[in-house]
Amino acid sequence: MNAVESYLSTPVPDRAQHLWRYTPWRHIHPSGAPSDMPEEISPATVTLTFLDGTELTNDITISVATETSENEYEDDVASAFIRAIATDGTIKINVNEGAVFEQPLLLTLESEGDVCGLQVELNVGRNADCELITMIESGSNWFGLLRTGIIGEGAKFNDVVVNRLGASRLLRWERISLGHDSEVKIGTFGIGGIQTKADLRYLLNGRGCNLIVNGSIFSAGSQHNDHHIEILHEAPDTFSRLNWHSSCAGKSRTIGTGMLKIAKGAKGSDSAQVFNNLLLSRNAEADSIPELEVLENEVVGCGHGTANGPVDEEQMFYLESRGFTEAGAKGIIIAAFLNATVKEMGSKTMHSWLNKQLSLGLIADTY
Amino acid sequence: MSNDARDVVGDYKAGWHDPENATIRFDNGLSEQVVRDISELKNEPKWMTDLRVKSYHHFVNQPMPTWGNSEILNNIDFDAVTYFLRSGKGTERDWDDVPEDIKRTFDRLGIPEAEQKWLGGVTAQYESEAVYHSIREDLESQGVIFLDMDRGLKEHEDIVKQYFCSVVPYQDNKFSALNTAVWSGGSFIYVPKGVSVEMPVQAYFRINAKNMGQFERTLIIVDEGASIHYVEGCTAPAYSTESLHSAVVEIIAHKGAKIRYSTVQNWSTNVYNLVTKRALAYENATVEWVDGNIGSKLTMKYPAVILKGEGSHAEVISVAYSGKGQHQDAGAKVHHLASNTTSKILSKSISKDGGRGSYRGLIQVANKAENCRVNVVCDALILDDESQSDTYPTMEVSNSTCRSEHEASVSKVSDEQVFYLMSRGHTEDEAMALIVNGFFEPFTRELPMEYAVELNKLMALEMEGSIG
Repeated sequence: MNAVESYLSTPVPDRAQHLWRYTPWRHIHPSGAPSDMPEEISPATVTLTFLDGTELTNDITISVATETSENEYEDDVASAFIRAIATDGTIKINVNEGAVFEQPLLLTLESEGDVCGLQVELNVGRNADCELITMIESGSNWFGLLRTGIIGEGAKFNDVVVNRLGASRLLRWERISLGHDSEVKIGTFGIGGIQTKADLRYLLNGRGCNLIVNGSIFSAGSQHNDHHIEILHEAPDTFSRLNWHSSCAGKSRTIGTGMLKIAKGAKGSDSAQVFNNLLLSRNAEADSIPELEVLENEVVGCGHGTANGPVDEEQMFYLESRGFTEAGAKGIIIAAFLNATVKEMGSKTMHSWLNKQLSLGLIADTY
Repeated sequence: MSNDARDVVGDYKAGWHDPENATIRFDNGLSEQVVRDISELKNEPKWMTDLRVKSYHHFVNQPMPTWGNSEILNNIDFDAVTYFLRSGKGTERDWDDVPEDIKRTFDRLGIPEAEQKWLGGVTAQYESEAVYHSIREDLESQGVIFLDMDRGLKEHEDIVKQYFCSVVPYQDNKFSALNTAVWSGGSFIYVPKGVSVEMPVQAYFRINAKNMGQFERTLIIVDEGASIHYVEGCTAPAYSTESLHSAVVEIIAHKGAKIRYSTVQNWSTNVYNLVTKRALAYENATVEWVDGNIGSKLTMKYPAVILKGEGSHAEVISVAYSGKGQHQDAGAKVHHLASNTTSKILSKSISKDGGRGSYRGLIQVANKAENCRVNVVCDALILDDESQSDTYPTMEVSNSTCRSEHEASVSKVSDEQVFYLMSRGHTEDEAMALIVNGFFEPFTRELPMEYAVELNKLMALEMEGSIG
């Protein structure tokens, strides 16, 4: 069965499944008709450099694999669709064992046209130490990104995906597994696109691995941002934190669904997730569903929290009393709220670059 | 008790059963004719018969929920259930007139004694219908109506017709459709304007027969400025075959009214407990669900409040204990439709011996509901490595002036706490029972004292041998 046949034989999920409750498949499918396959697929332009523009070293390789690699993860309708349209092969990024990079890597994904799909496979070798920013800047109407990754034993890896799309829709499907004693930060920085549906899952299957997931989502206008983040603690002594900040202006809607699973036998797991939503207009909506499934009692802790609220009046008063206009004060509060998770995504170099994007995003949008 | 039943029940104290002395028992299984027969037997008005039939067809056509514990739900054999069983000759107002075997059952459960001491009224339901019912004369003279639902329909058809299915429509879910089709028994309460019922009224539900289905329907209307505390308890014998309990409770709290609805659910672990409870709160009304789930094989119950009137308030305090073979899928739902409404949810669960406790909640704040406040706290304890705990909370906030908070934690009993108590002379079991009672204390302190004492004893019994 080829990839198209495989997608067409995948059942369309029911909205009763909470993964598809807020953004049903037909709403994110390019044409809205699940049985449609796009007639034309736009190619993607992929570039990988260091953030300061220096050339790649021998410790990192980027290649395109046209053969279909063995699928380790269970496909659903979203991944099957991206596989079906990602006809240019899989972009493979390989970081050698023990490689240490001073500068973050910048992977830019661009495309023009109607529909574009891309598969990216990350392989971070043992004890490597690096940072990767993946910037999606497609000019196409619809972009699908399927990322899989394996983080090797003892590796330190900071990874951020930046959504800087224009009037485009993004479908993101991600599965990353963490090796023994690895330390990983994965960030999502959403300041673009008109609709995003993301299904991001991280597997802590190496003993003692450590994962911090940060999200910073700025929604305005009539944007619809739906992120599902699932963290599975499968190995003992694993640690995870999920901190998700969304600010919602205009008529936008953000949805954050989190699932922390502690598998039986994952003793000593320590896990927590928090969703914070800043509501900036009366027509904005924020939905949070932080779920837990705990099958092991010998855990350090497992908790979740969510909080929703408007911009704090006292903070506004303080800033306005120091001479800021109302809009200026609000902008600072929003930026600070979003920056609280952005600054945790990686190194100072990475933070400084992301901060610039945040300022650009806030300037571009009105709230 | 058979050995099979003993395996199922463990130390369940209410697990005995009496010989069946049914005066009417329908054959097992459900059909439109069964629904019509129940209605005819009760000599109901045509609108109720028609509603039952419509609900039956909706039940048949509605698929089984795909969430919750689908594995157990899909194993329910609706054809193996008895949908109507009458044991007495009618509803008596004097315990001496209740058939001896049934009276003995309620004596063992302590109901007549409790009635004398601290209750304003009692309904005792045995199988499908109430066998005993009483209300204090002073409440009756103030216009308080407290009847079993069948008599409520006969004597106050206009009120029942106005409110029945108004808060929980039969189309709401598969089990509300089932209940509307085959309901029998339950309580009907009307508290007139300004009347405050100081002593709680109680309903006690007992299933005695094998493969029994109990489908009581409760409708409570609390008029402007009135208040009442309703308490319900439930037990069943331990059989190796399953019974089904699928109730619907509808509450209407008018302007400024206050109602507390307390439940201590202690079904035996062969009972499927699939219940829909919902209240509608008008301006400045307060609705409190105090919900304890100790028994049953599978409970799916999410007491809900629709805050329709400005300034109304909802409070849900629930505890769940999941032991061997049990899944307590419980929670709470609050819909903030009006401004300045507030809600508070506190959920506590304990899983032990392979049990599974799930909190499933929903908070919705409507776009026009300004200045709402929401606070949700869920805590869970897992006592061994065979058990499971889940939380599935949903918060949908569509108004920027709302402040909502939710927090949850799952943990084990702290070794330090056990050590501390043991260093003061308690055994391990006593220490565990004390910690668990302390964990449940926010719930028990809201119960009438007699219930709280009984619940503490029950939990101490459940905790025996939980360490080691």
